[in-house]
Formats: sequence, structure tokens, C-alpha cells
Amino acid sequence: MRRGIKLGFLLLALALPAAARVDRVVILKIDGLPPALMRQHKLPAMERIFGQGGAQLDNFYVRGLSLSAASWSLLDTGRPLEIKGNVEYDRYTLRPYDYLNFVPFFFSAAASKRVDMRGVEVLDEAGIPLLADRFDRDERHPGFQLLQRGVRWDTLESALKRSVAKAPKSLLDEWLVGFSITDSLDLQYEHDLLMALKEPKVRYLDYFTGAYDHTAHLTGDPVSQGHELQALDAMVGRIWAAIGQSPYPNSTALILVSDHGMNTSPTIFSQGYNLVDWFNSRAGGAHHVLTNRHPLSEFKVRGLDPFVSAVVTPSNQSSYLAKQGDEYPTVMLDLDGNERASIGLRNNTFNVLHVFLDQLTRRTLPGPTRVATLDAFFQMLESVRNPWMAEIVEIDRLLTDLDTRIADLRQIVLTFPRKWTKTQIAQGVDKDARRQARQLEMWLEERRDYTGYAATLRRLLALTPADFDPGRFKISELIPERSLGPLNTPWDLQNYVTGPGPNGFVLTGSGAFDWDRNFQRMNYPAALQKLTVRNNVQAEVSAEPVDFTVVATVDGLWLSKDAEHQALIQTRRTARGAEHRYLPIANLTGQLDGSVKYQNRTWAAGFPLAFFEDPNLQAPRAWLEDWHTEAEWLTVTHQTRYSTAVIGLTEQLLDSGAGAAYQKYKRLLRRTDLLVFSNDHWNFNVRGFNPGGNHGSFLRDSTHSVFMIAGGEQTGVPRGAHIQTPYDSLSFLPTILTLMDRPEADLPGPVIQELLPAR
Amino acid sequence: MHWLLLAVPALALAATPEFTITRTPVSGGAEILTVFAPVPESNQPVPLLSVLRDTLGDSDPANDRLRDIWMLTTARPSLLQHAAAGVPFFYWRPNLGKNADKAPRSVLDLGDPASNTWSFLAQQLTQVLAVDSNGALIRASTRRYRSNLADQRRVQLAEGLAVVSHLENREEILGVLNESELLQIQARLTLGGQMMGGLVSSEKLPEAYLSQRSRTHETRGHNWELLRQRAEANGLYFEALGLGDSPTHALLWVAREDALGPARDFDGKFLGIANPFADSRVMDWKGISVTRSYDAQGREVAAGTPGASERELIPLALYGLDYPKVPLLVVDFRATHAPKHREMLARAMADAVTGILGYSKWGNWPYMAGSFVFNFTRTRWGGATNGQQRLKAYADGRRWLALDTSLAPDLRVDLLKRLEVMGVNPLDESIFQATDVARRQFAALLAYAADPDGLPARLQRDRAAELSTYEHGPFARAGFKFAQVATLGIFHHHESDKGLGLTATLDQERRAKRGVPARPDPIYASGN
Repeated sequence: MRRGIKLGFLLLALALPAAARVDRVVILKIDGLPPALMRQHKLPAMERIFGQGGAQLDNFYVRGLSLSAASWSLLDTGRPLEIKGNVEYDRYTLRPYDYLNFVPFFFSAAASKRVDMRGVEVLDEAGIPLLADRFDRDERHPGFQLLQRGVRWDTLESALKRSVAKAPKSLLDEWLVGFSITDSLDLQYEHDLLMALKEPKVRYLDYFTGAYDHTAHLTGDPVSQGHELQALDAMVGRIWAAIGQSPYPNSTALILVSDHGMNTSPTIFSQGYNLVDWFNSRAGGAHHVLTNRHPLSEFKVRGLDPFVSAVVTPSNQSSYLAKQGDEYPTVMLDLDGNERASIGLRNNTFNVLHVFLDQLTRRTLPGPTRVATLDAFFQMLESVRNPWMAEIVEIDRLLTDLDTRIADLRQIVLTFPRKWTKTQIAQGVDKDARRQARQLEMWLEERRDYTGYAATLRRLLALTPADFDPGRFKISELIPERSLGPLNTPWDLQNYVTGPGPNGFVLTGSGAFDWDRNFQRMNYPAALQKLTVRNNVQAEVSAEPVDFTVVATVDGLWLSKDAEHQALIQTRRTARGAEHRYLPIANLTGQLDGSVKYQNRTWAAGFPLAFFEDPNLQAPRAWLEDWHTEAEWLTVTHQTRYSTAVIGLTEQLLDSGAGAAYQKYKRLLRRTDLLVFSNDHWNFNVRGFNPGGNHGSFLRDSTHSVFMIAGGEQTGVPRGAHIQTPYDSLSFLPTILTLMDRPEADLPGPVIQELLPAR
Repeated sequence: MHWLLLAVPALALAATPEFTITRTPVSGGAEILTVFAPVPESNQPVPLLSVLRDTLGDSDPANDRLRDIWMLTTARPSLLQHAAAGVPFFYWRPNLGKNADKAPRSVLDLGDPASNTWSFLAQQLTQVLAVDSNGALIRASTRRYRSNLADQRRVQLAEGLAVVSHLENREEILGVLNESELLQIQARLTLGGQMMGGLVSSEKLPEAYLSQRSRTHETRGHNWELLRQRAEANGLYFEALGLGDSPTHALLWVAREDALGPARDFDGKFLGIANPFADSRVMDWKGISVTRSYDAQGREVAAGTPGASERELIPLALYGLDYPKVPLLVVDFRATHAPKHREMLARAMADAVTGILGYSKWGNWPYMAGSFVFNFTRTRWGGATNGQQRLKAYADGRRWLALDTSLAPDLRVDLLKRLEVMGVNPLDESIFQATDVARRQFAALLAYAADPDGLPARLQRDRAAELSTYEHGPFARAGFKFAQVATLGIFHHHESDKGLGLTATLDQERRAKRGVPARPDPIYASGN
């Protein structure tokens, strides 16, 4: 009875005229959908619903790299990037943060070990809520997605039933034409969403599909891609019809958004360049390379392992680390998205010390050489003693704090019952408890790993010449295994030690340790920029896979195409917020103290990001010399070839500084040494082949995303509107919240005012 | 509505032959649509494929129905060919005579696509229940014969698909064969190669077409990329070839200067060829070679371009890009017979195990499990274990080479000769006779169409059978057939045309099935 009265009041409230109001949002999250492609196909439902009956942002962009995990996190949190790749590794421990691997998550969830996907766990620890978290449990109906909170097992069960519970003829047809469990899942999620639309309590619904992204990576065939769009269009039509029959037909906003675009062409195959092979080779430094999946996994039986998050591809040309690939991977690659590679190189000083120890423990060095080598070793160790000791102290301090939190959390976890009541389960109390237990488990693992890392460094710093007696130590006790160590400086990257010199260790004519001849060194930014291929078989594709490299320096972000064509993107904080400027430079050289030297250049064609020669730059050339806010950069550059690169690179490479000390520390440990961007229609995928298309770069096709919205009469969403003002993904969440009269003042992104004409 | 997708323009990557299509009326209300294409060795276009369209004698496409497809480049095998096809371990294609002047046999009946499936299943059942137990000789020869017959049909289907896939987006073709008909033909040709493919319902054809199309494009792109990367890693030169909107084949070359240089590491994985560096067969190469010029960026440029460097390239291998997962080695220029020997070995294994020893997967679970694990592992590692797909790849190669006028003539002939070696089926035609066979088969088809007891009579029988499908389910129809056979033809079920006449009844039924309104004033009232 009381429920009936409540429902009556609710319906009465809905019937009353009011100011523009959105009571419910339905968000369709379409991975990788590019706006340009939508214009090439006939999509009647979307044209009717969003084109004529709603609003479209013609210039909506991903803010950071055009990568799924990072991009969805921006859209879903409205906060600066906490997640900066599809996979990240802790530099000190190589603990993987694998944001895309569903299988381990499902198995752990089934075993009641985990509740949320890795990305959600990271955001939870950072205290950053998702958009869906703004709604109570019974007010929200999230679909299955990368940032997955919880698992709806009944949906999976129903999808399985949907796959098999069919007439025999239909089953036979499906078996012969091609059975797809993914299609069944998508249909089931849509079905669940349509059911949830009937529930008056539910105010937030979303639906995620990666079908287009998957197809577009594999083929540029416009018919195949068009088929995905037609299916999407039909689904939008069905959902819109269901909204019309729902309790909030006039106050529901339907939103279609994509996380990034797709650089795809019907006439060009995207070409892959295998950086794993290159780093494995002598020319690339003969590294053991760590990736999140097996290279060419489709050609390996072990490539079927769905639990894998860290794979080492050893080099058979390594000089001082031969057959030690599992213990000492020296390069970490995140290649996902594929138009960019995030590269983590083991700390250069680790390499130097490791080569020293390798030579010294072989006991083949002649007496004078050995003495000089020992001196040189301790000279090198001394040069890093202070910063590394400071690092150890910092780790100790953070772990002491962590111990307190672990103790507190353990007390809480110990109070959890073995079994939960039905009411508790219905309220999600059991899942909250499991989240805490999982957090405790992760903190304990982190504590163990960081403690081990610090202990190894301590032993290394405590070495004395007397310790070099035979058999006194193993190298693994002094150089941390499976660790990249501290970040490299620009000097390190330009003078990176890949092994001992070709003749081993020798002395100079004066009997001193010969630092020049005793190590093989590489200049990685320059070497990567010089990569070329002999098979230049597509007229539109360059023979050079690498467009430019980016390294964070103390003077700003260093972008480099070659020695003469480089740039610095500098950032400062002012009352107007973050301001950036772009300086054309040449010949940047890292210094041993971490600083950099370079020569200024006047503006000309050929510099990274090609602003000078871009006809779509919306400002005079002189504008580029000055400091400008992000909004100004977005307005002026969004239609250029590299669209949001200035903002995106700073978002990606500069730390926001947000969060508690431990969380911030861990975020800094996930940094990589350099970013490499591929030239147009090149990619760095090694897991398989992506000839259809790719994303990950700042090329406009990759960053340009979809944001369309339509609403019932009461929502005030404009009709037939094309919004030209450029916005990026930071604006998405605050705009949704404002539409729903739930604005949050501390969100950094500007609200899209054009969508709020009645407010 | 999925066929609308075909309207999306696709840019051509390579020259597509100028296909033409002609209509030949057939008495009784039908027409034969024949696809012609120019071939390098003839000034006159060659008929490649014909389709029978039952129009019921009117010009309204709403009641049209496609029926037979004939691949004209293949004739009915002669008796000697049939005999040779039944010889176990005989994997050659001797010239044993042709029936090129006899009316061709249709490769697929689009009006009754399930018939081939039922026929195959009945044959299989008979083989297992009645034939296999009669000793190794009979078992091996009948299995080999049926396998060769099935392979020959698959080759025809693949060649037909290769032709039809080039007809999309061509205005002059679409004026005769509309998009939904093209989609139906392509989907059925694809499904026809699968054991149960004929059972797929017509409503699923758009999905089957799109699925096949996506798969084909994905496979080509994947293999193009795999081969390019392997060529790059091994210091070879990669050249993609093919007709239409995506390349179907690729050649790998080695520069003579590289081959003459010192031996170097070579990773032949996925390539299936021997190390060409410091290989005496390459160093002493007397066969075909080309000289090409490249600019500083490695882009091929015209000879004599300033700053360009010239390189003499020696062909190493031709690959088919349509084979799932890996490029399929079709021609190895240094070991022309090597792919054939691999093919013969695979067949010999099958003949020995299934034919001679009598092991069948379904009757021997350990064999099935072992075979599955072995094939799964080999496939996983990139082995070309799918015999049907290999067959299709060779057929695609033959069809491409027959049609591609852009290839250098000497290279094309060289490739054809090497591909000709691949023939392992006594029922197949020599590719060098295909043009002559096609012309004679087309003439025979026209004669068959003009003969009142030929195609027109068959058309009437097919229409009667079609009417039966509207009135009775598959089991009832099977019962009629069984009764007819059991009574030695004394019983013959005749479907009632409800007094309207066969044509008018079919007009109504076809319209009803497609949801097209019936004619207000039936023009077929008099029947025929």
C-alpha cells in the first residue's frame, strides 16, 4: 500500500510541469567510434534521434592518449588521468596494472576474491568515484565495460541460455554462419537495459560495446565497418523506443559517446613495426622485453593463456644478461592502441652496475684492470648513493604509514562474517567487504615487494671492496630482479648502456678505467627516429615507422623528430589555470645532472606536431610563441593534424599531483621513460596484426570522438543542434551531472553550456 | 536490408577486369545470365559463369528466382577421368579427354541449395554403412573417388566466388544482376563449400554474406601484413597482387645483390621456403627476373628516375592471402614441386589411414583425439592444415592469373605453369585449356537451353518441385521421393496448382514469401 502511495506521488511529480530537468540518463558507450565514419553511412535512427531530435558535438576529443582504458577513465571520472595506459607496470616491482584483461577478473570474481576490474580498484584507492557511483545501488544499471564495478552473473547466465535456447533450425543456421558468444552477450546486455528502463527507481543506465573497435582494427573494409554501424543504429532505435515507453519518457536523456576515434582507411593497410623484435636485436640493444601479452599470440599454444599480464620475450643476443630474461627484463613496452608505444627502460645506472658486477664476478679480468674496475664501480655507486638512499628512506616512510593502514584494515576485515545474510548481499555489504579484503591483500603484496626492492638497494649501497671476495654475493642480491628501477634522465636515454664494450673491460693508455670503450651505448630517441623499412609498398605510408618521440625533461616535454626538428612543450600554473607554450628547438642534449641543453630555433615547417605548416591552425603563427590556456590551445589547434596533442601530452606525462602520498608515489612509479608515436598508418601492435586501423596517437582521426545527446521534452536538450565549440572528455561528466541537477564544483572540466540553454 | 551495405563505394587497389554480362532468353520464361571477362591470351572476352534466372516470363523482378549456376571453365569429366579419380594414391592430372561439348552440369542449384547437402549425407551414410566394410580396395577407391568429386565441386565454387566477388559496385553489372541477387549468389557459393552449408535458411544469407566478407577482408589484411613483416625481417621484397578492392596474392623477391652477398640469418617461419641468401639455386638463377628502381625512401619509381637505385629481383615464392591465419605458399620458384609434394603427402596420409586402414575419426575416438590435438597444435603454430581452404587458395590463384591482364606476360605464364603443377585431382582441367573449355561449354549450354527437352523441360520440373516445397514440409517431400523410388516410378506425386496454372501459382507463392502484394489482376490465369 505504502509502495503504491509512493509510486503515486512519483507519477504525480512526473506529470507536473517543471523547468528543464533530466531525471534519468542512458549512456551508450561505443568504443572507438569515429565521427567521420558515421557521416559516411546511412544511419536513420541516429539521424532522427540525435541529428534532428538532439544535439551533436562536432568537435569532441579525447583528452589524453586515444587509448581505451585511459579514455574511458577520463569520461567516467571527469578527473585528470589516474590510468595512463591499457597496461601499466610498477617500475620497482614490475607489478602489472592490466586494465583490459577480463578473464582473470571473472575467475577471481567467481572465486569471491575480487569484485571490480583493475581500473576501478585503482580509482577506488585514489578515492575517485565513477559517474555511476553517484547513484545508489538500486538507482543504477551499468553494463559490462572496461571500468567494471561488480559482475552481474545473471546476465552472463542469460546470455549463455540465449546462445543455446533456440529452435534447432536457428541453432544450425548460427553454427553454419558463425556463432558468436559476444553477440549473445551484447544482446543480453541490451535486453537487460531495456528491462531496467521500466524500473522507476533506476536513474543511471549505461551500455558498452567494443564491437566496432574490434572490427575496425581488423579490417578497413567499409562494408564490414558499416555493418557494425547499422547494428548500432538499430539498437539506438530500439532503446529510444523503449525510453518512450518508460516511466520517464520526457525527462530521460539518451547519450552516445565514444572514448576515441579510429585511424582507418578502406584503401590503406595499417602497417605494423615490431618494436619487440627491434629491442631484442643487437641494433635495438639486445634487451629482454616485457609486454602484457605474448607477441604473435595466435601462433603460440601458450598464447591461449587468458591469465597472462606479463610476458618476457628474451633476446638471444644479450651480452651480459644472456638467458636471464625472466629475471632481468630491461625494456617494458605498452603498445596497446598501437599508434604509440610507452617504453620503460631499466634504469641506466642499474645496467652499468650490473655490467660491472658481471665482469667482476667472472674473475677473468687481469689484475690492473680489475683494480681499476673496482674503483670505477664504487665511483658509479657513489654518484647515486644520495638519491637512492633518499629513495629508500622515502619507501620506509611510506611503508610505515602503510603498516598503520594495513593494521586498521586488517582489524576491519577480521570482523567480516564467513557468510552473509540475504539482506546484506542484496545491499551489497558483502561486496564492499570483499573490496576491503582485496585492498588489504594488495597492500600486503605491495609492502612485501617494495620492502624487497629497498632491501636489495640497501645491500648494493652497502657493498665494500672487501665484499668482492669469491662467492660473497650473488648479483640477484644486489640488483633487483624484475625491476626497472628509477626513471631515466634524458642523459641516460641518450647514453644508454646496453652491455660491455666489444672487447670487454680495458684500460686507457694511462692505466685508467676506459669509460668510453668499456660500454656499448645507445641514443634511444635518435635510434628510434631513424628506423626505416625497405618495403615501402603503399604510396600513402612513409618508410619511417616513427613520427616523433617524447621525453619529460626538467625544462618541459621534449618532442623530437630528428636532431634539427625538436620542440619543448612547457607548462606553468597561473591564476588562469595551466598554461602551455610550444618552443621550436634543436639538438637537445641531456646532461649528467639531469638538466638539458638545447638551441632555440625560429618557426619553420618540419617541427613536431607540424603546427607551422598546418592550414587548419586557427591563429596567426605568432600566437604559437606565447603562453596559452588549455581552452585556447584546444580552440586553436583542434582541427590541425595533431589536434589535442599539446593538452594530451601534458595530461599524459605531467603528474596532476592529486591524491594521498602513497597513491601519488605509486602513480609516479607507473611512469615510463619515453613515448614513441607512429607515423600515419603505422602501428606498433605485436600481439597480432591490425591492418584495418588503429588509434593511440594525437592524429585527429584517432582523437576525434562522438558525443551526441537527445532528450525528452522536459530535458531541455536542444534539438537539431550542431555544437562547434571544441570540448574534450573532461567536460563529459560535469555536463551530465549538471543536466541532472547534481553539479559538482570541484570537477576541473568545463560544462558544455550549449547543452543547457534552459538553465 | 543488409544488401544496402553493398552500395558503399570501395576504392579499387588494383585493376579489375572489365566484366560484362549478357542475357540469353530461355523458352518457358527464364533467362541465362552469363559473365564474360577479357583474358590476356584472347581478344574476345571469355564466358566464365552462367546463372539461370527463372522470371516466370515477365519483367517483374518481384517474382524472379535464381536457379542454376554453371562454371563454364570446367567440363564434365570423361569416363577415363572418373576412373582415374577412383584410383587411390593417384594424385596427378593426366590429359584423359574432355566432355567440353556436352551441356555443363550446374555446380549449385540456388533454388534448392539443400539438395547437395542431402546428397552428400546420403553418400556418406552409404559409404559408412554399406561400402566401407567391403575391403580396403573398395573402401579406398570409393573414398578417393568421392573426395575427388567433392574437391572438384569445391574448386568450381571457389572459382565462381572469385568471379562473382568482382561484380560488386559495377553499374553495368547491377543493371542485370541486382545487389540482393549478387549477395545471394556469393553467400550460397561460400556456404556450398561447407558440408551442411546448403541447409542455411535464406533469411540468414545477408548475415552469411557479411560474415564471409568480413572474414575474407580480415584474412587478406592479416596475411598481407604478416607477409610484409616477414619479408622485412628477412631482407626480402614484398609485392602484393590481385584484382578488385583488396590484394589476394603476394610475391616475395630477393635482390640478386643480396643473394650473392654473404649468408645471413633467415627465419623461414610462416614463409615455408629455404634461405635464399648464398643459395646456389638463387646465385645461379636463370629463370625470370625483373629489374626495378627504388628511390631513397624505398618506393618503386620509373627506371631512370634521378637518384634512384636499380635492383635485379629474383622471384622466390607466391602466396595466397585468402588462406585463414597464414599466407599459403602456392608457388616456390626454387622447388616448384614442393607444395605439390606436401599436398600429395597429406592426401596419401588420409588415403592410407581412412581408406586402407579403415580408421575413421567418428568411429575411433583415440584417433579423433590424436588427430585433433595434432592439427590444433600445427594450426596454432601456423601450419596450413585445412585441406579445403588450401584447395580454395589454389583455385583462387588459378582464377586470378587467368584474369589479371596487368601482370607482366612472361611472369604470368611462368606462374601459370608452376601452378599447373599443383594439380592433384584427375577430374580437374588444365588451366591452359580453360579458355577453350569455357567457350565450348557456353556453346553447349546455349544448345541445351534451345532444346525443348533440355533446359526448358528441366525448368518445368524444377518449378513443379518448387511448388511442392510451398505445400509440403521436407519430410513429406522425402516420403514422396521414397515412394516414387520404391514403386519404380509408378507413384509420382503431382502438386495441385489450384486451377491457376503452375506459373500463376508460383507467382503468388513467391510474392507471398517475399511479402510482396499479389497482382490485382493475375496475368497467368490461363496457366501454361
